[in-house]
Amino acid sequence: MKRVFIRMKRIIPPLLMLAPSLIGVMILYIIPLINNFSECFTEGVNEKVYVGFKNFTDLFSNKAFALAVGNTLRFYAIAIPALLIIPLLLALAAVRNKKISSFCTVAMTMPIVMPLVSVMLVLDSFFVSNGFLNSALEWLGMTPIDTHGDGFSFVYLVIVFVFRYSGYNFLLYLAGRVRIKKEYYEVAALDGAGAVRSFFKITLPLMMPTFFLTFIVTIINSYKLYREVYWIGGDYPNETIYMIQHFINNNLHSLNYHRLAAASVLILIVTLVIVGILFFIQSRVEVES
Amino acid sequence: MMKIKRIIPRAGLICLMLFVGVICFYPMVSLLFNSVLEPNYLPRGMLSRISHFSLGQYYESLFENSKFLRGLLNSAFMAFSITLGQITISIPAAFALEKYKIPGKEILFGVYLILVLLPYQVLQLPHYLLMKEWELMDTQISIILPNIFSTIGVCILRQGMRYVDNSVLDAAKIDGCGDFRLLSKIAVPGAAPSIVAAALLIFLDSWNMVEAPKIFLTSVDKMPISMIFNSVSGTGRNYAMGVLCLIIPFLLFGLFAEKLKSFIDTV
Repeated sequence: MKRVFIRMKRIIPPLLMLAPSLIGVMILYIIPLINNFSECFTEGVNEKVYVGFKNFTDLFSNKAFALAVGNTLRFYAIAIPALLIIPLLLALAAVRNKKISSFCTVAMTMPIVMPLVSVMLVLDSFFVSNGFLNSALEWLGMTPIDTHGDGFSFVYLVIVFVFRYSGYNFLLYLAGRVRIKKEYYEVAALDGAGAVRSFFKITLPLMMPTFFLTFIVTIINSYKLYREVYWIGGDYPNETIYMIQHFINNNLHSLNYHRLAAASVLILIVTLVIVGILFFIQSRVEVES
Repeated sequence: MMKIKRIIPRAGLICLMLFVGVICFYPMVSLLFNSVLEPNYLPRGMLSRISHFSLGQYYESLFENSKFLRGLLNSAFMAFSITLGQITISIPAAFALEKYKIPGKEILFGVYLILVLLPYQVLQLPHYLLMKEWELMDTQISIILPNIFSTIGVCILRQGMRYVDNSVLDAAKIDGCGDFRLLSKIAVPGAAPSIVAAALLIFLDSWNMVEAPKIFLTSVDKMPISMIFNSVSGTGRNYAMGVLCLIIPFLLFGLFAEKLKSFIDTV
């Protein structure tokens, strides 16, 4: 009896420390998400009627939703690999020289710290009708670029996005690469391994935890996509940059809560599956090494 | 011949890094240069700029354009509240999760991690309905509250708490140090780099937020700067505003850059 009492007493302080966060997360995240689940199978505002999967079938036949999902996935398919690869190559190049790597660290933090508003103002100035790039294009006899038009806004979005978020990944990669001991490479060179071979045999396996972390950071950052889109396209963007966020905004505006609940549950499930796969892979890699 | 073989990769490296440097620093430099031009002047050409020098638009946007100043203050208020709130709540939670034996804590942390990895879009409708129920629509609280309890702070800080020495904690415990004193006297100083890093990241993120204000706020005088200052053309006045927007983030970053770097080196 006494033992149980002492154990109870020991667990009270940490529970008190955890309590504020736990209660907040419960009320603001977990319970609303559970409510959302029940919402997605019902219809009506005051008297809720159970309708089964009707909201989901509605959603799948909704053209705007298909467009939004298609655009968002297309964007991720291009931007996430770019965000993973470009900073890695830069970090691997920069790590060869101490001065260069510290210069690059400063340079790559600039886009992280600069507010979106300030960055976009400058980037836009390239592409306005009398801007630097368009004047050059016109002088060369080509058609000027319109960042708000159908043809270019998607590409522009990718460029802006990669520019703004490369810094995080670069810093992580550089820190991960610096931690690998020089001796490994020296020994490998003595044994006659070339640069490519030592990359695949030393750098890649030893940086696995870093890759995992960068991937997670990239995913979290990629959810902030709407900020750039909102600057480029405003409330009514053209069809190529109509994203899931626009779909949500429009449907909240027209009070289609049940359709949105279905959409949100759908995104939740897809995310959970992806997260599950991610952690499965990570545990596999950890076991191997 | 050997010399050339060594020089070529080096020169290539330097060229590449110059290129990166130009791309990264260009927005900053260009912003500063253009911000000292007349309020309504659209910059074109290098030489013609000199005759359009002016500093009046800084004064004008700070003291005569009440909408801009209001937005700046709103952004600062919301970003500071979110950062301070989230850090104060996350520090004890991260400490408890890392250093104590609590049944089921790994499952709880797993839930926290999933919440971090959840797209904001999933939570938007639930939060919207909640804020409507609590009659908090069109208040800044509706944005600050959910963000304070965002779990990313706990996840970053738990990583930092790993570097708090267990033997020091045990020694202090034997000397009769209470659990909350352990937290404030040993864990907080020990995890300082991660605390600063988390605070900086949360602040920078809140400074740029668009999604939540777009949905929860309707009156212009409550909007953050990223909402009211949107899709504008690059005149001297707007460039000056762009400079004013980045002063607070840069100041904070300058103050804490060292700590952030030492945190990144340990993750």
